Amino acid sequence: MASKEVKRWIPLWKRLVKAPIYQLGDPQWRVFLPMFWMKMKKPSCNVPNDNVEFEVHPQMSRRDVKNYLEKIYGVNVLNVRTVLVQAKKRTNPAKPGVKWQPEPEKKIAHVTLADETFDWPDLWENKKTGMDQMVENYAKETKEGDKLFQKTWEKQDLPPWFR
Amino acid sequence: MTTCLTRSVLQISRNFIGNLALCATNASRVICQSNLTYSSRHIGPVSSVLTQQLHTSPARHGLLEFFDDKREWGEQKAKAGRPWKVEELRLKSNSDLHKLWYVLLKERNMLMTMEEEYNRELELLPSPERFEKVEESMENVLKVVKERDRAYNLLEKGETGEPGGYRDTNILGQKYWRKRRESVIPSFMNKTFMARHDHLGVWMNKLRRREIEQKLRVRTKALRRDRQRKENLKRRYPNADTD
Repeated sequence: MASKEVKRWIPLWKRLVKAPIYQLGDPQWRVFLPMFWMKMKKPSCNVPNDNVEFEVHPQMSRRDVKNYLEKIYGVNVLNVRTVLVQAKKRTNPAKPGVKWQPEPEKKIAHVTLADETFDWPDLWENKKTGMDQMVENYAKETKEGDKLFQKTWEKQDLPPWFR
Repeated sequence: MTTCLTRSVLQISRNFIGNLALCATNASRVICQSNLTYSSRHIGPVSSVLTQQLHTSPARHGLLEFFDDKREWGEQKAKAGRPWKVEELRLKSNSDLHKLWYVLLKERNMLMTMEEEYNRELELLPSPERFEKVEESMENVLKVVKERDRAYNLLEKGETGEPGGYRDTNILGQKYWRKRRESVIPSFMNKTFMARHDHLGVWMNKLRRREIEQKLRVRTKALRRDRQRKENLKRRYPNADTD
């Protein structure tokens, strides 16, 4: 008996984008509901002010990136370079010699802006981060615990509800 | 600002629930904009009913639209509404859906960048379920657009406009359901396609007969197993109903 195929649900941003086949003489293909996504990344090294780095949908081309930024975000673009970055390959210690790539490859677009400059903003400027909050809470809790211990150091072998 | 706009758009639907606390802050700003634009065009008295309409022309902030609103930066919590329902979207016009799509797209991009940034700083993104909410409303928009397309095609052409499928035989003569799909040349001109699909040869008869045999065997075995089980039960409990 052939097993029944179960369709796995894939989130929208991961799905394959299908375009109709273009043949000579057809009207230009226009996109009304674009499926592509772009996310901005902090550049890994020091770059000039007018350079921005994006991680983009793997099916996007350079022209797509340019049109996306110009039409949707209203940012004029001078040049786009796209790079496919492979993820790190890993080996299982039980099976040496067999490599696999746990994460898919990324497409990264380096964009130079035409008119404006962009500086990476600091989101936690003059603000406490979550890590700071956690450290504070931990310190407070430990202090309280120590106090409790000092109070009840003689009765440690009793259960806590009886001290 | 995109985020502000998205929130205001999302909050129109939230008004019905009665969560007006958030709506007041964002909507007031938008109303001011619309008031200004309206007064510049018309000389006569401005009616309060018209000015209270939500005006959603974008205030462009360029690349900062990839980030959340400045007031939300570094906060521990983020408030968010619920996703758009299909029933609500069915009431909207096509142009409204088109605008909403771009709002949602920008919101999703923003959430992606923020998640990346928060991860880089080893922080937790406040209310990460926003991403799924946006995705759900995007899928609902797509659903509604598809419904409308279908209805239009049924009215105009009498067909759904979907590709559909047909029963085809593969290279071994097995039958299967094949989806109709686009091709550069028509299938009857494609020699390799014609050789592989819907082409029964004499040499396949043996395979096809065996396939039928196997299916029958599986069916008869199942029937026999069931009958045997019933007989055993009857022998054990003679007065019971076996069916």
